[in-house]
Formats: sequence, C-alpha cells, structure tokens
Amino acid sequence: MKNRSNAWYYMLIVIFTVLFFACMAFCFGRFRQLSRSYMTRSLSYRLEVIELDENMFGPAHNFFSLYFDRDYEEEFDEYWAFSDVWLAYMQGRISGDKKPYIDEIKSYLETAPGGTREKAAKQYLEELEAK
Amino acid sequence: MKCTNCGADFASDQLRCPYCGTVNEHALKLAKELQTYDAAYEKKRDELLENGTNRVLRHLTFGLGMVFLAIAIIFLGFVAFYQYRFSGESSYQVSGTRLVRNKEMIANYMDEGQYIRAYLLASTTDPTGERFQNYPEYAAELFDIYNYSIILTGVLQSMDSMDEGNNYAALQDTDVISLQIFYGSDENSAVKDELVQEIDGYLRDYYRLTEEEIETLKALEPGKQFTLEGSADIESVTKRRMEAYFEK
Repeated sequence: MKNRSNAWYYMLIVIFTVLFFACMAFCFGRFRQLSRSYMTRSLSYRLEVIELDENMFGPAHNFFSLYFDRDYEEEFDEYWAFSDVWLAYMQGRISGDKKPYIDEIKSYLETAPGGTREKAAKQYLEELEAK
Repeated sequence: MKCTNCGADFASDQLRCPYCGTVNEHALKLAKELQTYDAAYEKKRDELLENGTNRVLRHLTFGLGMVFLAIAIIFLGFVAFYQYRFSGESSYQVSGTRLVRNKEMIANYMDEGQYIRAYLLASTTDPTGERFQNYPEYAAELFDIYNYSIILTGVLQSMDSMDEGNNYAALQDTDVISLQIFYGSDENSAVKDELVQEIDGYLRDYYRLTEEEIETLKALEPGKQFTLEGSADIESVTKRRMEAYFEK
C-alpha cells in the first residue's frame, strides 16, 4: 500500500475544502441576493409593502414609499392620487397663495376615496383653510 | 588467531600470516563480503536519492499548480462579482411592445403632470439607469425631473422631520450643489420652467431666500461658494430665518 501521509495531500485537502466552501458561500450569497431582488421588485410585494406602510405610518408616507420603491405601475394609481394631494398640502402650508392647493384637495375629495385617505385629505383641507 | 601453516599467533583481520605468508581464508572471505555490501549500499543510496528528489519535485510542482489554480479561481470569482455589483447596468432591459407601451405611459404621465412617476418608470426600465437610453425622446425632460426629484425629496424629508419636532433642516452646501446641477443643466426641456418655478417656491417659502438670492444662486458658477448676508455659513442663516418665520 502506498504511503499517503505526505504533507502535500493534507495541503491539497485543505485547499480544496476552503475552495469548496468559498464557492458555496458565494453561490449562496448570489442566490439570496437575486431571489430577494426579484421578490422585492415584484408588483405583489410592493403593493403589500405600501399597504403596510400606509397602515403603520399613515397615508402621508405614501409619497416616499412610491418614490423609494419605484412604484410607477397603474396598480398604484390611488396612492399617486393621494400623494399629489399630500404634495399640494405641503406646498400650500408654506405658500402665500393657498387657493390652488385648496382647490386641488377639494377636487380630490369630490371622488370620495373613503377611508384614512379621505380623512387625511379633509384634515389637510381644514388646516389650509384655517391658515 | 593461529596460522594454519606455522602455528604463529596474529590478528584475525590480517589477510596473510606475518611469519610464513600463508593466506588467511577467513579474513579474505570477510573482506570480499564487505566489498559486496559497500557496492550494494552505494547503489541503493544513489537510487534512493534520485527517486526522493524526483518525488519531491513532482509533488512540489503539483502543489504549486493547485495553489495557483485556487488563487486564479478566487480572483476570477471576485472579478465576476464586482463586475456584476458595480457595473451600473440595470437588469431591466425592455424592448418591443413593452417599450412602446412604456413610452405611451411616460407620455400620459407627462401630460397629467406626474413627472416623478414618469421618471421612475423610465429609470426602472432603462438598462443605463439615469441616462435614459431607452427613451431618447424624453431624455432631456427626464434628466431635469431626476435632478428635481432629488431636491424635492430632500425638502419634503426636512419638512417631515420638522413636523416631528426635530431641528430645522436648513439649506446646506450639498443642497446648493444639487440646485446648481438642476439650474445649470443645458437641456431645453419642456418641463424645466414648471419645475424651476416649483423649486423656486420651496427656496422662497421654505428656506426663506429672497428673489435676489435665488437669482444669485441660479447664476452661481460651479465650485463657487454661495453666501447669504455675506456669510458662507448658509445653514445658520437659513435656519435663523426659518425659525423666525415658522415660529412666529
């Protein structure tokens, strides 16, 4: 039987073990990165996230959710409509002429969106009219 | 020992009797055996040395080759990873009917005044990110909207933090750089005037800059310091003005 106790054999075993684990770690990281990116970019996931955000932080947070999650699809129409109202409110608060912004909020309320969004829009309207 | 011929005493390793010269058969036999052993030993020693050297050299070459191979594989892995990570190319490449549909959507969003939404669509579905290669007909507008969106989100975030009772996020030098990029773009886009008006509104009504100061900011050359009331510390000046205005 051949003598296998040469140091080189151990060295090779160590090198290939390290290589194997390095490759496996890389593949796992890449797989996780890709799978997560596909998951977070998916429409259903982003719809779920914006709904959660709205429940947790209120509809005022919608603009930032839409912007940072890049939600441009038609499914987000109602969120975009409300974020325009929020933008009008933010501009109206600091602007001297509040009328165009008040009109914008009023036209949004004509469609009667209901729920927390309508409540928030009414609150914005009251606040702007009171100033 | 004793000589077989004359009977004299002499040392057993001597080949001949020192008195009568008779050959010592026993010592002769031993000497011949010793010679044979010596030759065999030398032969074996040379053989072992040669084989050992070859084996060591062979293993050394193989081992070094494997080490270089491992380094090469790891290096290639890093190159591939970093090329993917920092290539800046988006994985969203659209073409054909989807591209046509996206262009229609961008046109619709532009008509409805949903500029940021149009920009988000374009940048997400463009392989070059912010360079809008897929949408050359809207590139000028989209580039202006991109710069505008950076300023807008900054202002809105600072207004948001003001609502939460934090300190006033006043105008900073980094904001001035974003504003310079926005105002200084050479693109003659259709939406520029509208966006400029809106940003002017935030500078005037939120950061409390005067019309002259806004004009100075627009005309400011790249790399030059923007000053307010003769001071380079624009943050303190705008903060003081904002506190005075919003807390009255």
